Amino acid sequence: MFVNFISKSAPPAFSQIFAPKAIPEMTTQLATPLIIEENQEPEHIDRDFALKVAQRAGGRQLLRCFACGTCTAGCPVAEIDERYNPRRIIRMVLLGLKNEVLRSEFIWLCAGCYTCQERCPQGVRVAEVMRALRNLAVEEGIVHPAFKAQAELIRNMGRIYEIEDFDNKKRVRAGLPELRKNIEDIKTLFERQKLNERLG
Amino acid sequence: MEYTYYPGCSLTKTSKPYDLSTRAVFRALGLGLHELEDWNCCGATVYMSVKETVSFSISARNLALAEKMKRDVVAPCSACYLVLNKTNRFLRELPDLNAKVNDALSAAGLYYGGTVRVRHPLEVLINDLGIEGVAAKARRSLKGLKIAEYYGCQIVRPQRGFDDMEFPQTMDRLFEALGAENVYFPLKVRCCGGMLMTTANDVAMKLCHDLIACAQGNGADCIVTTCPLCQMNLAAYQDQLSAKFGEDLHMPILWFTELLGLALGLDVRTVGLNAHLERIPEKILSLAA
Repeated sequence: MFVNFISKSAPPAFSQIFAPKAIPEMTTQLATPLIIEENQEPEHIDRDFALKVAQRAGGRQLLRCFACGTCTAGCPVAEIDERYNPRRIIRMVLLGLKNEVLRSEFIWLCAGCYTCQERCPQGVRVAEVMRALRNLAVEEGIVHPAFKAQAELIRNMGRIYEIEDFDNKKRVRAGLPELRKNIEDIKTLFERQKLNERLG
Repeated sequence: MEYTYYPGCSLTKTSKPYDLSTRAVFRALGLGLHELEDWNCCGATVYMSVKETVSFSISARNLALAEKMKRDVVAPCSACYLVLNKTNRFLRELPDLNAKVNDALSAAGLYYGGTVRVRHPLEVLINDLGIEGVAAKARRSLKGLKIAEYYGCQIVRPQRGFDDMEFPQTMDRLFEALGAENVYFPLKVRCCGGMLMTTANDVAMKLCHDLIACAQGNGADCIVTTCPLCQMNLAAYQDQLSAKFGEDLHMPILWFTELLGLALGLDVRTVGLNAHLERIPEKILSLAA
């Protein structure tokens, strides 16, 4: 029998996530232009921003970047969409352009393929830096809608996909134990880490 | 040999055939898979982006549960494999994070000591049985079948794992030993776009186009992959891709365990080949005849 996984009976969250048009299109424009006038240091420069990023898991090596551009040259996303440019983002972080980075949509464009990270001659964990930047953006209240949707699924059920009676029937028929539909531990972990106030 | 099996979310739904075929292949090869009881989401790459401390905690819950089983964990989903390994690595590297995570785990009555090894089924087959060991159990030859082996990003990067990160060969050698012919496929570890299919559709569509067009252009009958998301991205959007690029971009995208299962003598339903979104041509189905 042909099983259509994207049927009407699929949980709404699933179709919402995987129907490309259901999610509003990203605007990858910078919040403000990057051109800085001579002798006019923008007030919003955050001199500690690079250090804040460096303190995150996998962020420390960021400070070694000498801007060779190996990351951007090998990036499959940058090749298609020039708005995404890892070297530029890292330079912006090192310059302290906190708002421009965290409010931009381009930090959400990294596909997480780790090509840049493995090729970086300075050992910068570029993909981890992008992840750290997203975390910092979330702390500022900026969450990409698709990421937020998936995060809420995990928070509520402990898994991305809902385990339905149908799934458990099939498991029993295959000689497998039933899976619990909701994993209470996850809520405990969430509460302990206080994510709830962030996603509210 | 016995392993703890961590299927992950994708394998319960969109990648059901990968789950069925992994279990079936391990059974056929005499390897025991024991599903981790009450497993939860690995933390997923998505979650890492939102709140990493929580992500590491829910990821570590699986590792804490697995630690009690005292066996290596087998995680077929590339993202699960990556995230669980990443959690292991960061908990080792960063004592502060380790303390935070174990504090959260203690609220759920758990503790993780950091001793679990997380492995990919491809690596388990290659290293624990060996290519010859697997090939010795083959009941059918894959002769005449041309394959493009597609490893995706996340089993070869970023932890410098079991194969080369730019041009891996394990799957190629495995299917070669089973009689198949490997076509020239330089995009073995090129990104499929991953989650960008939902957030930056144009980028992911172009990446998927390149992969399928390359495999087709080099005469492959199918792409064989190790990752649920790669399979999903390449298989589910073939109509849209064809319309968008004005080319026929239809082609079967199999998980490596499905094709391996056929070679081991399993039938089409057992490996889940009847549950694909894309059309599976007679050339592949007839291998099971």
